[in-house]
Amino acid sequence: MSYLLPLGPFHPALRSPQRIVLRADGDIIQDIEHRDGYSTRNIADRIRRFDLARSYTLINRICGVHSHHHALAWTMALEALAGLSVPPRAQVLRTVAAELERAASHLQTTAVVFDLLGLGQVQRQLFALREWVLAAMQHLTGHRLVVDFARPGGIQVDLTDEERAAMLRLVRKPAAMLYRLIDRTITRRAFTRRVVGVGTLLQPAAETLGVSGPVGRASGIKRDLRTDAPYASYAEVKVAQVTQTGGDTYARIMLLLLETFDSLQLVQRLLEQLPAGAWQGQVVEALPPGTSSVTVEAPAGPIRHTLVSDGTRLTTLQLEALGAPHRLVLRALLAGQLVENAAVIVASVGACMTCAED
Amino acid sequence: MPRTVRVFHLCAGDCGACAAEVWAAVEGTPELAWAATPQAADVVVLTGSVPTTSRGALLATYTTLIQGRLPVVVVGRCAIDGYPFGKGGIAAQPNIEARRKVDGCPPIVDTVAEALLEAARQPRIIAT
Repeated sequence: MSYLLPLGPFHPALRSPQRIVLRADGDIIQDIEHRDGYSTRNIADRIRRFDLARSYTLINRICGVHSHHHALAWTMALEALAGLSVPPRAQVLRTVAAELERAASHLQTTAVVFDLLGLGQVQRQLFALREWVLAAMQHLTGHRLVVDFARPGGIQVDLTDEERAAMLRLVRKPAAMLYRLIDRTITRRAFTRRVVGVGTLLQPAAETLGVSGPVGRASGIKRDLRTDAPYASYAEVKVAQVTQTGGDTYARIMLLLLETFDSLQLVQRLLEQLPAGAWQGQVVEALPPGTSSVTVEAPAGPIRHTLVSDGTRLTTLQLEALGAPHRLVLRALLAGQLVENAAVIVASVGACMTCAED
Repeated sequence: MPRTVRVFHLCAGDCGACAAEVWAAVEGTPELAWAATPQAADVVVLTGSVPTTSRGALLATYTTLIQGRLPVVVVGRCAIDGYPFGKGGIAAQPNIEARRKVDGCPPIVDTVAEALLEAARQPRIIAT
């Protein structure tokens, strides 16, 4: 018997509103319909009417969970147009904020998946780890989320020695706790029997569908802008190229946990060798004419900001989230799967549509 | 008052920060838990500036399942009046009645948790 089962637009497995209608036959999903666009706020259009000083209010709110990455891409695009250079201290602190944001985002995604799997104990541990990471972020930027940190030519606030020591304490403990958690969970049967071989997207299909970001890396696509085209301080630190080949929900969860561990290690290393010197950025008053395009590796996949200036104001601003899942990716993941696994598969993709729906 | 307050989240065009802080409030407060549907909820939390793209889905859910049954807690500045995404929020939706409004962009987690508990503590709305 064939029937339709709607998931969303408001559902606990979805990070932002979207509607997925499952067309199922018995227990098996045959096809899906996907509708998104619920979070469209026309930010790219509004920013062109703002002056550059006020633009950060909106840029930071394209996606509140990945706000620093959007501000970083925007700031780097402004710097490329204005010809500004960034001192090493500011570059390192920008990278620290980016890695803390990645860790917090991945921990949230994995915590939601473990909650849906009914493994509340693991979910609570991941939630506690995320709170530690956000506390470290608060020491650095003053905010847990929507961190208004990057500015052209530098950053908004500096880090004192006391705060640096507090951050190191806050990051060291979760790194050790996460290592133990991964070690315990990796072979736990209650976890593996629900995720191994579930929602598989193998490398050829992932390549064809243009999947990028953590979902692509879980399918064996070795693509990460932090190592392929290093920006900020990524050229000076060794980023572990985490990839999995399974392409299933297990591979996606393990990739997110391992990347979180690597992010926390990176934060430690960067803070331990934090250079002294200039840090302060300033608001750019006027932009020379030209075009600049910057892509950064956000937690859910690459995001690209493209600006065109005519010398007096921005004429075009294009915001693209290259890692946002689209209908074909979701259909490849869900078709042929059991209905009961749909929420877990969708949650494991992270499905952050707010980055894409500016 | 129920022992555990069950929360249903309506997310209509927000940036995700308020949604993440509501998530942190529910996960970090033992008296709060998630509800998968509005029918199973004690309180509804609304985030987001309610842009035209999500207005239809939001109002359909609100009028059929929530209005007159459950208290609504509005979380975040954009859900109150739309700032900084332009005019919007519940200020532009006279149909939606808010029991509590929590300002902030995003608000503090403890304030969100306290508002959710307090909204559920008040006498239940009886459907007419």
